[in-house]
Amino acid sequence: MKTKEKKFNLAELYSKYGIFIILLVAVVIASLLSDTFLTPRNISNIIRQNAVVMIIAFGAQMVLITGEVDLSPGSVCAFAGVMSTVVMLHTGSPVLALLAGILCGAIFGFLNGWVITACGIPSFIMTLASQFIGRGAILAFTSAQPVNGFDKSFAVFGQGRIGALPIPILIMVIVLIVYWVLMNRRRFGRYVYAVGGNEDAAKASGINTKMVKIKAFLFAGATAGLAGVILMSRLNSGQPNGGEQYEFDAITAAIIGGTSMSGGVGKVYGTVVGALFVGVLLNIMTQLNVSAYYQKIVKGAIIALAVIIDAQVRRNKKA
Amino acid sequence: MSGQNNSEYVLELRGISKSFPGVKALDKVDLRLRPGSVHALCGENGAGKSTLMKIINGIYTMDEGEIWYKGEKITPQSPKAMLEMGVATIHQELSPILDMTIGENIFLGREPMNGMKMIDWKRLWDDTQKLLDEFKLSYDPKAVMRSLTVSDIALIEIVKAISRDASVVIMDEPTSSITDSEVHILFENVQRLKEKGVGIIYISHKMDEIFEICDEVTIFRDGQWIHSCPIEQIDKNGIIKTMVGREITDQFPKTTAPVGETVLELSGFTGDRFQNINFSLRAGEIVGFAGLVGAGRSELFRAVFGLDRKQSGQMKLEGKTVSFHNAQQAIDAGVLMASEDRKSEGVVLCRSIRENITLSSLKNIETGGFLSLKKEKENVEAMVKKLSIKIASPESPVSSLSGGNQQKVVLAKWLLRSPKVLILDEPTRGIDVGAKYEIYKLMCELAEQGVAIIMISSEMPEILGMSDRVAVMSQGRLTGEMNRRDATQENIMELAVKGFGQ
Repeated sequence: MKTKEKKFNLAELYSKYGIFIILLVAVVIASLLSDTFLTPRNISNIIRQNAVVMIIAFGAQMVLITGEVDLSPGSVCAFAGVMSTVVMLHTGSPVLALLAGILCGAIFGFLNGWVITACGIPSFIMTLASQFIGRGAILAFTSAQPVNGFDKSFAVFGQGRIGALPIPILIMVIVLIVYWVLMNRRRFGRYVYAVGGNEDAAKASGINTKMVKIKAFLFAGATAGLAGVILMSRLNSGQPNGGEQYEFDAITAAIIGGTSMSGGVGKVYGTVVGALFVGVLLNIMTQLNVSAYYQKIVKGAIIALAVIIDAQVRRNKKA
Repeated sequence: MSGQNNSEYVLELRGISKSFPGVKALDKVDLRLRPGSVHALCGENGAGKSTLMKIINGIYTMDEGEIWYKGEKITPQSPKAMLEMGVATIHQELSPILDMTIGENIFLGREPMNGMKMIDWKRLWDDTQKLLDEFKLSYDPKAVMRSLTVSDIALIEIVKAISRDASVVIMDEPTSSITDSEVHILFENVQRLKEKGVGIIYISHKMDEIFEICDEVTIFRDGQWIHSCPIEQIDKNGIIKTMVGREITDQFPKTTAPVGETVLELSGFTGDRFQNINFSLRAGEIVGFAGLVGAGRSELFRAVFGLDRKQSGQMKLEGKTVSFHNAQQAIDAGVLMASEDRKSEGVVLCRSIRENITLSSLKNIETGGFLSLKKEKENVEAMVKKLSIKIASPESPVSSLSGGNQQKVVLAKWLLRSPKVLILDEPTRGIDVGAKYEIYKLMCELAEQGVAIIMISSEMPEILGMSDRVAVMSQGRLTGEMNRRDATQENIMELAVKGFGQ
């Protein structure tokens, strides 16, 4: 009995503050292991490198909260990013390139959502399919060759600064604010939570549940597209192989941040902290020269652990 | 063996306590069950009945107390272990595997094996047939559960539990989803079990049933044992009074509101499960819809509310022809429905009470496209007060509330939309006496304000006690209507079975 009660409290505690504690512990351990970790430069690096994943994670989280899952962002990110470099190459306008990237992503997201809701198929399968389609399409379109030779002004999204503030971080913060407002101060956000929490009840409460899901996928696609623009801008090249497995990092961030795989639950700040945690972890492993192969194992273990804790929390809530 | 069987009780619970963080769910409760008797366990929702049953089944561990079973002190480990010892439970919420057959469900986890350790299918079907015959049920053992109605499934679950040579059977609201005629089948079998010496713990809110089949009664209130006695020594009001700790003089606080204009009119309304319904409803009226489970009442009003499709027919709202293709359109027009299945269609369990209450009226708390949390808070506070919803905080998840309070959350959600027509499907199913009373009172208040109310109910006393007018359906047809003063149990039953066996 004693152990059961203790477990209960631990899971409960984790669901409230766990992610902050874990991030703090990770930062403390990291700064003990490496002298360079806590330098402003390294911290800024972590956030900048994470801006792309974090932006994708916002979209991924919204979809998770509706009770679905989106496995396509990595490919969408590459497709939309490369397309934006193509537009850049032909028009020379960074603004048009940015809009093209976001639009490409949004179209992908809309199609995902539309097919899933219209045909009533599992989002897991549909977005796995579009992950392949997106990647295949951009590899075929570019013959797997990077797109280069466009004007340097495109680099502003990934490498530019306003004063000391890197522009990718600025973009990330803007997306964060928009996303937070959507989820917390707009009717739409409430519908997203309700649809994921109990779709039938949402329908019987007068919510157009299909439309809510389509919009969530659209948002996820648009964020993946925007992330693709930033990524290609940072690389200064349209890389059709870019963004591979970013969906995995994004979903990991959301779940570590307390988003439930079964929908209806998840806070925006959780994803921010979750993404930072993943960033800190990868950063310190890189600094300690841990090989990329082992990094994969660690990432895999973390997502499994996060889902186990999520399941534990829900089981306790039920009992 | 021999000495132990002399014990007067087959199951004895002594001084059982159980706390959850912040709540004392059970405080030194006792229960003594004699073999060959039916022992009613009564109490409002939250009185601790379910917690105690979970302790007997080993789902929860008790903090204090002793459990004696057949003269031996035991510590329940798990529902499976208890079942093997001879303690079977029929849960209120059914858990059949819908894509398996009746036979597979009944013998799940104890399939008869042949010499080669393979399932002996012939024996499985034969044994199932034997059981069904014994219970006088005419189902095909190979029928898939999914093809059965909810009440069929409930009966099969009961067969499944009883078929396990148990010494103790716990029945948690076994009649909540079966019809009156099936209740008789159940009671015949309870009688048979009694004669075989089985002890039965019978949890129910339905007083008539308790007085029909129970021998003894134990009453809990707020986690405490209050009273135990033979059933002859107490009456219905006595039980209710002991349960709620106060006297409820009138179970139905019915008032008659002035009847106004016709609000809703159905003509030739036809769908999959209902045919050619002609019906009209006036402001201030409460119309009870009676009928057997499966008569098509819920289906009819789901179609009115836009959740299901209708095939033909017309609907007029305040004289204007309308047709709702989804719930959104119905809600915007002022036609609201609280579904019979609260958990699956009423509330979003994992979200807060606040969010559930305002879910359908978020437009009203918007300023310039953004939600006003201040207005929301005012709305929620007003509703919590008006419906006296018992909550710790509006931010707690709805899953933390009792059934009665969850139902009030659903009603609060609709009251914020100022309904013209309010359809309540089994509004008090699984709700305790106190909360029932409050919901009835609210219905009367709404009728006074000119709301037209449809109350679909399978509980005869509720239909008789609350309706201004009773409409009866049978096999998808409206078989009759009558005024309050003409409505009797006999009239209604006659119309409810009309068309059967002809």
